[in-house]
Amino acid sequence: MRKKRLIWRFALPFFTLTVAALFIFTWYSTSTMKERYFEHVRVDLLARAHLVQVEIAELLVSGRLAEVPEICNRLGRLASTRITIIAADGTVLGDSMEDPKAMENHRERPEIAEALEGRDGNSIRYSRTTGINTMYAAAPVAVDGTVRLVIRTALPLSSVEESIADLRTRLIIGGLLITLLVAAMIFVLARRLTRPIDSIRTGAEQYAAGNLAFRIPKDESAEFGALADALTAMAQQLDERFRTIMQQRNEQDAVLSSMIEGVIAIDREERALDMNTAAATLFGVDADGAKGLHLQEAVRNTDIQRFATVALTSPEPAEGFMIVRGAEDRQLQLHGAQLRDGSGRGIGAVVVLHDVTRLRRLETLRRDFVANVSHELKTPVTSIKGFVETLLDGAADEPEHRDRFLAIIAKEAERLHHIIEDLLSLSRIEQEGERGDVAFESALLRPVLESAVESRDTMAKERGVTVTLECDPQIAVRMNAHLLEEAVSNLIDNAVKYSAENRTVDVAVTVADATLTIAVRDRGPGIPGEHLPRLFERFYRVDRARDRRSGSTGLGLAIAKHIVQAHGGTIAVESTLGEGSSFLITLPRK
Amino acid sequence: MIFFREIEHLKKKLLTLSALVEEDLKDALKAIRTRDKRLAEEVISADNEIDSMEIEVEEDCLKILALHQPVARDLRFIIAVLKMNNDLERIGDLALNIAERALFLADHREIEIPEQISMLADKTGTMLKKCLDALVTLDEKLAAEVCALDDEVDAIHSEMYDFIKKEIIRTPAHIDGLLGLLSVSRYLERIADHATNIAEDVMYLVQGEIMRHRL
Repeated sequence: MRKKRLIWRFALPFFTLTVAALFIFTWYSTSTMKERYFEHVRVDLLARAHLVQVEIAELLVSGRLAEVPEICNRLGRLASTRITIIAADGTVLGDSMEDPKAMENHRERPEIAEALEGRDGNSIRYSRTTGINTMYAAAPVAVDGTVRLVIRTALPLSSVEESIADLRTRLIIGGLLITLLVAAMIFVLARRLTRPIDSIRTGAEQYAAGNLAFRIPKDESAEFGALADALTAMAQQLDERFRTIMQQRNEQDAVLSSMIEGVIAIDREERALDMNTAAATLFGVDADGAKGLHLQEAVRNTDIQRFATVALTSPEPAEGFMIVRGAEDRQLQLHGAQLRDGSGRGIGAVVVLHDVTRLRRLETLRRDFVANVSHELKTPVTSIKGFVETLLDGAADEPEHRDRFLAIIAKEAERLHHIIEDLLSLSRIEQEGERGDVAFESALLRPVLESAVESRDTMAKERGVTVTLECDPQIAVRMNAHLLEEAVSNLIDNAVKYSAENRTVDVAVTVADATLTIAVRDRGPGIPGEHLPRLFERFYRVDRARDRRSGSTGLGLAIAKHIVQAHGGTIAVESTLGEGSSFLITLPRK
Repeated sequence: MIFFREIEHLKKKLLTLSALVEEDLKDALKAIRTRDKRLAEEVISADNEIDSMEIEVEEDCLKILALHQPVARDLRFIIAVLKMNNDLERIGDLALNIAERALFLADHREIEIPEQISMLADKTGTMLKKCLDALVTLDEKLAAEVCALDDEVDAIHSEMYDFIKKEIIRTPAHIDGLLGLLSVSRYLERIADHATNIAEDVMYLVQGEIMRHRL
């Protein structure tokens, strides 16, 4: 519905009131005027009738009634009034304007009837004789208490009515002028009143549209001025509040998105209210796209869906565990708690996902390490113990057995020694690397690699493996030469061990912008994919039986990895089954 | 319950079922790759849940049809859900079959898992993921992509067939394991077909036109 403009709402009553007042005034004044005028004419007519009365009474007494018409004419002319004399039976005896003989009986006329009863009478009528609205007055002429004649005077009211109509016209014209004036004033007033309202409305619309910097123009009137000021103040406050809210929101977003833990907030219908980047990455979804969707739509993972239901319904904080399968499984510790609004009503739940993959792996590593160390140490010790006991039991006296047993004992002792040596150097490198105690200096790389190749020369020759080295002699790098040589020779050691006879092991150095890579490539059987991620763990063996036979301690790669890490570099392995493996040491050049 | 809420509820249930099936397939494929017997057994035991969910979804659909007599879009939705439900359950069964093969292959380490299997697994996994994404977002473009992928899967499967044939001739002793591999390949191909069906149902849901068997 179209709303009425304010101007009409108060212009119309004002206008109606003015017109009504003018109308009533006109009507009242003209009717009062008319009444006064008529009263005046009536009194006047009666007075004239009474004047004539004396003369007519004389005529009546003297019995000269024949003179009546003539007197009527004379007096009528003198007084410019119509005078009629009527006998008691209603017969017209004389009239100043008409021939009395032609006139009908007047007994029934109201003024005459009244006069016949002995009173003065009068009436206003439309005269049949003259055809004009006329006022009549009648006075009785009585002799000895009996009405014998009636004298009637009459005056046409046309001039009176004309002057009253004229007055009315003037009043109406004046009224119209006043009405116009009032209308114009109302219009101006209304404009004055609505203009500030319009400007305030514009301001309010701007605020609603978010333009809180808009200022409403000042108005001179106290009321609207105050209103505009109040609105402006409100806008400023809102602006400030919004800024605060935005800032808090941004801070909250920043906190949430920089958290390593995934956070998902859901409402009671299991719709995602909020999801931070970490959570989105964990489930491989788009954080912004997920907002507002049901958890089932946003994250296709039944474990988290089940946990969300638990978190929503359980009054206590919920805890859970789940695995997100993917290229690499992520193990997640889940914490869920209900979200409550100010009045303590549950409005949803928040689920925190803690990625414990690394933690769990470290735990496993440590457990495995202890088990492995014990196992690795136990094997040679058991062997030594067994042979020593055999010797003590008498085998020492049999030279051929004794020498063989002693040789085995020596070999096992040597093995123990190696393991302990490797463990010690591993923990030393680890500690030094952590503390930054490793001494680095810039030196040429080639001599280091050469001596590493040389250190495994004998072993390579024994197995008929050729080790080639390809390295620009100019390359220098910041390193601890002794440690790096150990790392590379460990890699060459492995490569030679796993190479078939008459194959080559290539050691090659490639240089990129900020890094250089030392690759040790063998052409052995290759390493099955499932072993690759754990290859650099201590005592991790691809083939347990074979490795131990070859006299490996199972620590070579772990040592190499720690050395490279102490250098700020990385170590990686690429392997294809049946074709061989490449170990890549990448070091920063600066 | 209000009609609208029932539809929402049904959608949620179908999505949960699809997530279950997707996880199952992922686990089964992983069990094949890593020869993980425990994972394979998990998949086999999870099939009961899928079956009971399928029945629940179907009952919900029938209930809505009977109580509310939906029309237009809602009717299409219910019809599409009924069909997808079926496809999802079949995929669940096939994942179970793959898991059974995984159990068998875990005991036959001498048979290498050929590259084609992991390619097939990747492609099929992608197809299932995409068709479910298309279902969630009602994205017909994504659904069309799924249909296009199906041809690639078929090609790899027939390649696999030739490969197994040659391998059997080369090493007849491994025939059981190789036939197992061929089964896995066929299951994957069937899963891809079901994923295509789901994608077509999504297109039907969005456009209201039946897209099947079109060129």
